[in-house]
Amino acid sequence: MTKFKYIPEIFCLLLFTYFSTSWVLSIEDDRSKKALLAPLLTLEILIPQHKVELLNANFSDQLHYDKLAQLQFEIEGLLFEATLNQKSNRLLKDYKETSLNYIQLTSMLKTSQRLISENSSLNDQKLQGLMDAIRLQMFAFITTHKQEDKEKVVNLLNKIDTGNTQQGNWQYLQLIKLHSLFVLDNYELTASYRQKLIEMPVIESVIKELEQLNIEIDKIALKQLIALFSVVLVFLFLFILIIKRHQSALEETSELHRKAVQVKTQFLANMSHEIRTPMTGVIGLVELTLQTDLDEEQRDYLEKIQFSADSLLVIINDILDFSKIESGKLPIEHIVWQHDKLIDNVNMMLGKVAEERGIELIFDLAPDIPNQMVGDPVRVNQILLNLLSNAIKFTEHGHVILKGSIINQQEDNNTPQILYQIKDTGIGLSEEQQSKLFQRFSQADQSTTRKYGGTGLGLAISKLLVDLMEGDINVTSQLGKGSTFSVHLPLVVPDTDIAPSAIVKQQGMRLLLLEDNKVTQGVIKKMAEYLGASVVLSATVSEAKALCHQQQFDIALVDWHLEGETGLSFIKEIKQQSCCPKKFVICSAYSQGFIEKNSTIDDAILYLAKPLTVLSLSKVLNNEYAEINPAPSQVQLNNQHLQPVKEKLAPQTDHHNTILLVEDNKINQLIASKLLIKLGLNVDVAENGQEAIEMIENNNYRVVLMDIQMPIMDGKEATIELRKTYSTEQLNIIALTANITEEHIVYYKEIGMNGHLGKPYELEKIREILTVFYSLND
Amino acid sequence: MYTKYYISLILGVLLCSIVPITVYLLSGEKTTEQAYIKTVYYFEQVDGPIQPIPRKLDIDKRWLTLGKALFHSPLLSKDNTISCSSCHLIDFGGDDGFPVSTGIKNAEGVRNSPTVFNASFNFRQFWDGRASSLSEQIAGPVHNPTEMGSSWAEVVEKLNKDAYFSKTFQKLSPQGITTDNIIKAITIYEESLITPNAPIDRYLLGDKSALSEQQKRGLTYFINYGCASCHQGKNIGGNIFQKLGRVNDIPEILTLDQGKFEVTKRDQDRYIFKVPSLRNIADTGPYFHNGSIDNLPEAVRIMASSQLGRVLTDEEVRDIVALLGAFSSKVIEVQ
Repeated sequence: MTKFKYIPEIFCLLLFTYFSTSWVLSIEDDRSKKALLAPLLTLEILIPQHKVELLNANFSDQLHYDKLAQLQFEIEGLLFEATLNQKSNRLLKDYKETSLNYIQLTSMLKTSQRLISENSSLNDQKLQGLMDAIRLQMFAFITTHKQEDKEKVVNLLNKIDTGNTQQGNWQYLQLIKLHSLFVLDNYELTASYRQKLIEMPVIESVIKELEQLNIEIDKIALKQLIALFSVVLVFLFLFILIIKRHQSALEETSELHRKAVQVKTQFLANMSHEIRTPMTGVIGLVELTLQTDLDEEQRDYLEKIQFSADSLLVIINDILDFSKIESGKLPIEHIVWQHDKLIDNVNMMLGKVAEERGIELIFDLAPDIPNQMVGDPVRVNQILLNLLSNAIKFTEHGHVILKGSIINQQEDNNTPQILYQIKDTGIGLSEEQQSKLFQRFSQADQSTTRKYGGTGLGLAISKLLVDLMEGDINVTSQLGKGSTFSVHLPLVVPDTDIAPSAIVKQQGMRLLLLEDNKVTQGVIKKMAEYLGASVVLSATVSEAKALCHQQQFDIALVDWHLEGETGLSFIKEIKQQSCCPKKFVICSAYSQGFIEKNSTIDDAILYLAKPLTVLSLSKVLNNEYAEINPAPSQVQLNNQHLQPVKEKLAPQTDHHNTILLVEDNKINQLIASKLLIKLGLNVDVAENGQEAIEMIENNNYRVVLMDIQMPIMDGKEATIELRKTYSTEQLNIIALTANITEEHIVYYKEIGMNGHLGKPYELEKIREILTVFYSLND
Repeated sequence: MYTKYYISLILGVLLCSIVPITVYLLSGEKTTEQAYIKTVYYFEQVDGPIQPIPRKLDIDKRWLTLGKALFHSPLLSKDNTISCSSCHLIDFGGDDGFPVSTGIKNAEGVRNSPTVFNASFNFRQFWDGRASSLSEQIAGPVHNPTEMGSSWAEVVEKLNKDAYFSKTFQKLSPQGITTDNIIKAITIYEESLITPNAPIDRYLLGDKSALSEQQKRGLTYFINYGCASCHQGKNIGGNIFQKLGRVNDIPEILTLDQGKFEVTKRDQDRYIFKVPSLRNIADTGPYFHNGSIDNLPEAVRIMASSQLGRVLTDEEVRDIVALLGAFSSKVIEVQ
């Protein structure tokens, strides 16, 4: 079958053969025709010469006919080579014959005429007179060609008596008579030959033949050209064919690639689900186990397992993210989000880690950053977390600053941008390392993987995300000194601008800052001064104490972790004295609970999480924090963290607080149930879609958590079935799925689901969604 | 993956090109020709009806040698007894001295052998001028049953078997022994058989002592009486046709052969012959087309009477015959 595919090529080759042969043949034709041309051209020259010679032959000065004979000879030779048409051939033959005859006669006529016209001196007067008369008459005849003249000559000749051979002039008379008769007999014939020869259009016919031949030669030249052209065209066709074949081969390959991409996407979707399901199980169960009675060793091991599981999840998410971005499946959201909430989240995730490593984490955010922005908060969070965690990871000592600022109108940009700079005092990067940094799987150094761990995908993902958001990311660094990562993102402010969270300026407040880190000092001072407070810096307890003696402060911000001492000791000491500031605020990256646990002060102390933001600082200065944290109760240990969570038993028959969980996987059932119970809900479980429908018919559930992949009847089918009876208002169906690709989300909405929750289960997310329907536990 | 495709495509093109190439090669044969020296005569012009024969010529000696061998080779005749030189004896004036020649098996011919000497200056060959060139003439005797009675095919075959001929032909021409090459060789040899420096030529070229007084007188008669109106040019004849018995009747013995009429069958061609060359006439008797007149004086008388209507005196005849003797010379030495 594949043979037929090549038919166009074969056809081209055949055409090529045909045209090139035709070309060669026409060359041959041309050559042979040109060969014919040569003799004709020579004839064209020779025949006129011949005619001239011929017609000159009767002149008396033409004594020999060598030239004529030569021409004759040459012409006859040529006639062999030249091919003329019949008419020309006959004409030339006729010409040849006539000319030969003509010469025959003319040569003799000349002799005879000469003889006759020779002056004779005869004794006999009468004879002489006769001779003269004959001559005259002969001459007359020659001139007039008239019959009567001829007869006259004949009469005169008859008077000559040649019978008598003894006559003295007999010889002469005989001669005259014979020759005159000869002349008379042949003159007219010769004249007619001559006339005929003159009129014969030999030259014309040769010329016509030549013209004919030239036309034919032209035709052949044209044919040659066409054949050559066609050969060129054929080659062109062949060329185009080859290109077409390439094209179709390429299309085939690209089709294969497309299929491969499809397979990959499908794989992604499957993996998404396949991987998350067991992960959900692991993480969830570890969480649950940790809430039971365990001894030290067991707890330790489980915590380590939890850490590993979390890390694994991070890695998996990274990989999936990366694949998604690469195949262009990652959507960038454009929603309104709160900047301060994002910073808080970052704070929460990383503050403790930094403190544990002994690194100062500082936020230096410009006050003109709008609080509401349009974009994808999840991704921005991802980027900042990635960069900051890298900074913390690779810094042994020193600090990590997150600096945020607005860059207005650049020359080539129309939109303002927000610039995040993450500066650290870490190990730094060399030039070479910097150049490879944002490529996937490349950590700056192979040994870093061993020392610091990580997949190496973080930066690559960050770069991809930044690119998707049409921003910019780069790094400057000095080996051993530290690095600065800069992220530019376009700043889009929503139309409806809710007033930014009130940053109330406190004019005139006097603030004492006890902080050993110079950089932090600078940042906090800036922030406080922005808020209108006056700031005095101190780095040690003794310094601070001294300052207190000097002036009165309204508020003291005390860092928990100082060099060799804690801020606690300062507070204790200064409280004894009268010059103590009115309010104390402890700043620490450690959680509030931890501080409360470890502090031995029972007075009310405010807590401010590190890193500070302008907002959080302003809140504290405004006494806002005072409301949220009633001092005494918070100083006590929160025993809840140590005791296991007991299940809320006694399912209420009031179905208003019951939720239907549809899930086939036993482990997931367990985990989900636990979470829901924790939220204060009653949980009914269905194994599959079929059961779910039955149960829904019998009972009244506000919300149904519907897993998608189930045997017998899966979540999609069940939903479609349910929606035939219950509308979206009557029955809320939330999808539980690991597949959180946009297509799927849109699909779920289409078939009537009210929302979706991802796996592994996140408590907060679940709470967020269910809070609308149920009154939940905190 | 594409290399196979390209290779097969290129092979295809090459294969297809074989067709036109073979066509080209097949048809391009005839143009190849071995370079050979073409015969060139160095003519000298003088005033008067008679012209001298060139004393210098360029000729291809290799072909000449081969032609000479062929000319003398009896292989050209059917029974390998007769060669060209059997009737055109090089040492005896170029003809055979018989009224008519004898071919194979003692077959008798019809006409007298014309001399091969200076034959290349005749505008036609044969008594009736039916061959328009030397090359054309050769086929005549070869195929004539009363002469050599052979055919070109036979000749070529026989020559191929001969070691000398096959070798020499191969050397001279890639085609080897072909009819055209045989003709070419013989023709070139014949072109070399010219007899310049006859007394008349020397006379015409300025040496007034070349002719005796008698011969000079003969020359005057020759021209004045009109012999030179037909016997003129470099060959002293051989360049026009003429009727035998132009003015007067010819003797009966000459009337049997009607000349050109035998070939063309046209009335006007009766008794029309090519005017024969008078060079070496003294050595090429007998005379006239059937060799029936064996002495010059008689021939002269007949000519004068029938062509010119004149009766010559004995003295005039002697003078003219003396002149005719001045037309003889030896074959040129080819350098």
